Amino acid sequence: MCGIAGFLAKRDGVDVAATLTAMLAALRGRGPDSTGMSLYGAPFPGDLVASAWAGEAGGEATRAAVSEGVSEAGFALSDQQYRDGYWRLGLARDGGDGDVAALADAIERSAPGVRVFSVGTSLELLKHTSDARELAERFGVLGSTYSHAIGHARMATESRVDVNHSHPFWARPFPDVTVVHNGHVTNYYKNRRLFEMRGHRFQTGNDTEFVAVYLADRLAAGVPLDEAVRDSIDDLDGSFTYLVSTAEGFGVARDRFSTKPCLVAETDDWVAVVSEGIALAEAFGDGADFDTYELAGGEARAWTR
Amino acid sequence: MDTLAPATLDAHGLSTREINHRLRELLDGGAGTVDVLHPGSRHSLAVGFLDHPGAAIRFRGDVGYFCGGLSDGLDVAVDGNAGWSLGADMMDGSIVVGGNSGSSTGASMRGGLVVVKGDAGARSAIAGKGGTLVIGGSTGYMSGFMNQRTRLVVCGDAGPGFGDSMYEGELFCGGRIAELGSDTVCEPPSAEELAWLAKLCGGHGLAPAGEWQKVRSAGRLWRYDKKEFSIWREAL
Repeated sequence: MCGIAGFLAKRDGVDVAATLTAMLAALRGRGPDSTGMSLYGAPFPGDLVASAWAGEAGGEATRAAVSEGVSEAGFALSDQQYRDGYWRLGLARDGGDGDVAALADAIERSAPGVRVFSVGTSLELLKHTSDARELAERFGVLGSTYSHAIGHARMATESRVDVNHSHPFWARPFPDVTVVHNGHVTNYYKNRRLFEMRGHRFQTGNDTEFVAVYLADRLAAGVPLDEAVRDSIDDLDGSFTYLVSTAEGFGVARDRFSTKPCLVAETDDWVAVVSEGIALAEAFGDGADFDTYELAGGEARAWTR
Repeated sequence: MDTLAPATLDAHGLSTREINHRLRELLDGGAGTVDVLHPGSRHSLAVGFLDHPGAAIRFRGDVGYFCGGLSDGLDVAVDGNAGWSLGADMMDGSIVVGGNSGSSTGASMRGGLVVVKGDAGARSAIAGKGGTLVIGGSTGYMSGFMNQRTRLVVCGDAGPGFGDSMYEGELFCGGRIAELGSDTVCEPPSAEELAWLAKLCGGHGLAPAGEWQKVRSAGRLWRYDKKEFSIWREAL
């Protein structure tokens, strides 16, 4: 199972956070183990923003150690917000070469138990074993302004139930690229070895992490988002529907067997991609008037603001 | 309540179990038709209704998975869209959807009529054992797969694997067939079949995108000796 959802506002004033929260809450039946969101576009001071999870290790000493780690990587903290184990760090380049991989490594090395969820130019990544509404309230998502977001309600089948194995997966160390996924990619293990031979280091054994890195690698090579998601239909084996997001927008792809659901709804103001119509009914009410269609097997699409 | 009196059920805030329970109560109490407001895309609505032949339920909005499945003689209308497995295993009656439906529409249906005025997802009429499924738009991958006796009518295009490994039954496509499935034959429909198609589709305001084509099993894989590799290779 698992439920996925994506929501992109085509204009300012559309409440991305509240809509995604409602959609994920409705999809809880498909994924009761954990919930996660990648939210894009909120303003913050600095060049990069990092989302990190400290859990119970998030005391004063840890914060001081993380600040030192950031400094070692050639960045300075321009802002930090800590709430209930979750950290949002604004980062300004401070004489270093801006190496995101080194930054994420330095933060984790500085304080045992701290995990970097994401680094990007406009990305906040939150995930927790709570449901969507609790996640949104606990970490202060509602009320903030975002341009687009993707999210996930997880039923764990491939790896353990904890925060680190929850979706979305950041394509570490590629800034801003995250993926949520419903299904199984069966050739990920073989393919990730090709990336490991090039020096890439994966953080988990989860197939979704590979999908994120594979797509981010293509995007970094200059392949447009719509082309990258289209090509993935041939490159990935298994049954899957996934959403990939960048700072500019998101894409969706569904394998040819189309055994994992995917509905698309679009108006002049927004685009929504969800596993089930019940998510649209929860977010917009069932009197809402818009066209909904199922993405065809082997079809991929992308939208940018 | 008067016999065949209409009734209205507001499903807002009710669980699937409560909605189906209230529907049964209303039909048992003599309501001939029930208008359901705010179905909210919930799954499994009007499933397993066996004792209300001729009764009508109209959902004023989208429904989720399995709507009308396993029912016998119920007439269901959906003003919006339907999720996966619409009318799965239904035995008799009708389901008419004004919008689109998801994958596995009419899966293993045994009788009755399902009409989707928009598009349907993959695997429409998979393992169909009877009845008629009409899709006003297009349908996806592997529709008619392992069909046994259902008549599948697609006014628009059909995805790859159309009719793959079907036993009996008939598939009709009024648009483009992306790729025929294994062991199938494509041929023009007979005059009788064209008249039946015109009446069936016209009755629901539907028409083919182009010329009707009929797809049936070639039967080459029904009986063969396992040593006859040439038959197997050719049929696949």
